[in-house]
Amino acid sequence: MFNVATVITTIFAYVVGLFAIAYFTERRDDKGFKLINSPLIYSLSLAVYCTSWTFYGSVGSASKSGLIFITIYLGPMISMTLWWSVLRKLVRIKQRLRITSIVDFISARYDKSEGVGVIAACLVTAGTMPYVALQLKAIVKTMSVMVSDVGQADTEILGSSTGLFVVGLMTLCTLFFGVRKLDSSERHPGMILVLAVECIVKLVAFLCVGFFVTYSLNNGFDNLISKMPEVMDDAYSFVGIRDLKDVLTWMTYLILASSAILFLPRQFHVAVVENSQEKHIKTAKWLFPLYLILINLFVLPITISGKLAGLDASLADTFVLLLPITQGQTALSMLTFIGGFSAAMGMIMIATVSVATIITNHILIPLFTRVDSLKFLTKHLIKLRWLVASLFIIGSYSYMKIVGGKYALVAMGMVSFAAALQFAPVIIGSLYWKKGSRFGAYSALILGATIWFYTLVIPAFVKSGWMKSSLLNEGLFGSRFLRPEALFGFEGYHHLTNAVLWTMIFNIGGYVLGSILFPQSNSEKRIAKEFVEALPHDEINTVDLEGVEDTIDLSEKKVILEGVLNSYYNDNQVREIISSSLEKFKVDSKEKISLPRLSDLLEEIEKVLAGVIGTAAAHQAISSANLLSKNEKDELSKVYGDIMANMMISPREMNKKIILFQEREKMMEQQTKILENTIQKRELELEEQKAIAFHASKMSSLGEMAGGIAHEINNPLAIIASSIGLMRKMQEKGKMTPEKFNNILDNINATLERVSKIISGLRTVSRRTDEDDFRFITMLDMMTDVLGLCSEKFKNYGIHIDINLEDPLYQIELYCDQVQFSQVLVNLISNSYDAIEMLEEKWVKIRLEQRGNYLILSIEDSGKGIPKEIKEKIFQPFYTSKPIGKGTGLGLSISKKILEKHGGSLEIDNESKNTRFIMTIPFKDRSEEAS
Amino acid sequence: MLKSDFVLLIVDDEPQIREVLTQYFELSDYAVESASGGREALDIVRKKKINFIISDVRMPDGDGEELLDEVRKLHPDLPIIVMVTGFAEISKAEAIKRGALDLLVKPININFLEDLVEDEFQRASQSEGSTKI
Repeated sequence: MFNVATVITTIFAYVVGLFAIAYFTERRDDKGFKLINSPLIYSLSLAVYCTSWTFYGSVGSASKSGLIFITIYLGPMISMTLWWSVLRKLVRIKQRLRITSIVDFISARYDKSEGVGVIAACLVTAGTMPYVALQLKAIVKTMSVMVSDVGQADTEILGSSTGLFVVGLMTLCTLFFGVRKLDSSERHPGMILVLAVECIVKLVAFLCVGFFVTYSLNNGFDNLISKMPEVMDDAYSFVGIRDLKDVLTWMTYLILASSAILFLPRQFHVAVVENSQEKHIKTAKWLFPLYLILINLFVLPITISGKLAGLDASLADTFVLLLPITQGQTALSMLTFIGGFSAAMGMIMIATVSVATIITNHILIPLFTRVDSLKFLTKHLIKLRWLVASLFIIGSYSYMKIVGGKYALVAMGMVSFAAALQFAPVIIGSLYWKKGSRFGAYSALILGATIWFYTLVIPAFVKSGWMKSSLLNEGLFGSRFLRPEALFGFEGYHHLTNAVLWTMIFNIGGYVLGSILFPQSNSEKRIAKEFVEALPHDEINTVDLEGVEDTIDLSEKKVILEGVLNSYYNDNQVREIISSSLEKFKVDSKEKISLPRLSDLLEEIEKVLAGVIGTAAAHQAISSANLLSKNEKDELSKVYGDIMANMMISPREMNKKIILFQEREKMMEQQTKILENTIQKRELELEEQKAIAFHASKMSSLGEMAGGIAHEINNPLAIIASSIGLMRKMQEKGKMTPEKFNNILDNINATLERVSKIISGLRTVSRRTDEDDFRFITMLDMMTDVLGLCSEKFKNYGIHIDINLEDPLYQIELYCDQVQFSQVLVNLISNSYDAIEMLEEKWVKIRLEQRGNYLILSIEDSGKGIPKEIKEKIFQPFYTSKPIGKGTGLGLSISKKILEKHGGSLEIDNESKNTRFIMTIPFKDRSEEAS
Repeated sequence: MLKSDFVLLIVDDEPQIREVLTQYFELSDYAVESASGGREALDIVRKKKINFIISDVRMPDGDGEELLDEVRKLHPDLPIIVMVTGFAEISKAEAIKRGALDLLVKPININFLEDLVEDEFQRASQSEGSTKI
């Protein structure tokens, strides 16, 4: 109907139009173009689910197997209404962790495991490539329909150049729309808009064909349906349900389709990775099912009409296109072709972007970072991704060429669905079961993939004639028990039912058992909690870090970080990433930051990097860069590890707790310091006071004594000096006579004697006092010394000392420490002096009595006695009633102690109306001592 | 003016000091009165004409500081030398502030004391001479 050039030109024009839309919107996106972020676009993009397999295949399927095609759309409708909460959680986690793909999600959840990532990536690649091949085939085949005569469609007619054109075009589109930018978690608004446009185009095209067929070609919907029995063999071939086997087949399809809408890599990509706002899900919840209803509305009319029109049932897959062509509807035919092309292209584009990301991030990067000679390749990520995407499309095309129209290709739609189903347990588990472990994920994926391969891929290969059919009929090792399509004796059911049953039993069983037998590590516990609890907002950690010391040199860490990021970005991007991360935590102007802050920063940069190379690789890259020294790590993990294991709390809470504890510790340290300081201060003060007190007591008694001595000595010296001056004067004047001379000399002599007495008293009182020095001495000797020291002072102030040294009692020898005893006497007499110095009546009365073997010495002065209330206290150390600076209060307590040491006592006479101290001193004869 | 007309008053509770200083200044031809305490000295100052006072500070019968203040009220121009033993007594600055001519610390240099008396005697002689003219 069309020539090749027309078809190719039309395709080309269409693609250029899409380019224009993508370019336009991506430029406008920066300015906040609303369309791009609308829920409408999001909902439409989900319709990438409807590939050419839907566009053309639904009619083919309905023609062959009746209504069962509807399950493929019923499943997603059910899951969109039931699973939207799952989707919401997935989106939250993706936003927080910058998830790039379904594989990234799984590996991120299971301890950022690269191994889990590799297995999942292989499964994705194996499951997607035939599916893409199917789309390529649809394009090529419909092109051949377009250019050939009706009913003569043959792909050979186009030659291999057309195929290469398609491959080239698809590669170009994919690279342009999907792999231009590096940060794949930053979404591809242009690609999604193109996808949405394509989804509209394919829907409009299909609806147009439907309207044309139903209302132009036939007399409306009812009329067509009423003619159904003419083209259907029987009711069974239409509904397809007769027994349990059929019910299970329906259920199998429903299960596969429900899981595919979320877990096919491309569906995960559009629904989760490309989601810009959580609330868009709400719209998609009703809009997407509506889309599915619309695109299926005319499947039956077209099928019936095609059969009524007498088209070959073997061509049912192209009825959609053949009907308008046979009716000579040029425009409608082209629109339909473009609709089918759109459906195929959208799928190829999204699937390729998704797979290219998965292969580079989860297979190539882990490989390159481990092999030193390949390490340089990590710097060329974007080119790597181009290469992988191109190779993937070429690979798919080659697959198509090799497999051709064999079973292995046609069946791949459902096989792909079954592969996606293998991700369902680990993903749903990650959201709702905290205990799911890395080992569980390994077992689930390995077992599920193995059974999937054995029950679905191997039979497909056998049916395509590449493997011996004996495997299918007789089972592995000739054991019928192990027949792939009737595994473990599950006989008589649809091969998909068989596959779904056994993959799920092994997958879920492996997951649960593996998780229970090999529990999570501490770090995985933390991640698991984060996934299960998935809070709605990803707030920046702005916990107040005040009080935590900034000990980490930022510039040093920056250099290391730059080194790490340089492996994946160019210099400008590296600077950009680091500075924006620093800004995010408001530490861009700091030189030093705290350890928790550094940890935040690393987490942030790891997330940014994860947006490019996936969670596992980013974790590997950051943690292998030695950004934390061993000490820093120890310090951090010491706190984090224990508490997290015990408390199962998220890093944010952890951070808050750490800060709280640090603050508390700091506060306690400060309190302790303050207390210590106070105690030290008090101790010092006390020490000082003691020292001052002792010093003062020494100084004051020394000072008093010195003053007394100066007075006592200077007067006699004045007499002597003046006398000498007088003698000289007499000599000068010639008035000196021998009589006068002798007179003056006698005076000088007597005066000198006075001085020597004072010196002797001084010697007595001031001798060393630390050792006892007991000897026999009379009270007279001691009293003479003491009075010699004090008499001048007393005389000067007009104080009369009443003492009778003639009393024979003074001749009694005492056995005592002369120095200490004299000091007591000086002390008591001085006290009297101080007490009465200012009184009108000034006298001191000293009396000596004998009572048995005791001498009683009383010293009484004219003072008015000691008030009762302080009588108790005056013998206590440091008690003083004297003005500050005058006395230290040591005197009486020390005097009392000295007397008690001598076997005596010191008391106050309570009877006397004046102040009267009574000393009691024992004495013994020298003869007694001798005997 | 003759030295015998220039009257010194020696105040000290120590008799020996009084006696030695009296003999000394009499040998230098001055007229000398003596007192054993502040009160006695004040009596003398009130009754007789005194040209110069040499006084101890610490004395049982009226101390030297009181004497200084009282004499200052009676005869603002009467020169007074105070003698101290050098401990816990009036300071030189304080003594001069309160009107003393000087403060000497015992044991005193008797020649220096005589020089001070001599100076005052000369001044008294000159001012008497000038009033005569």
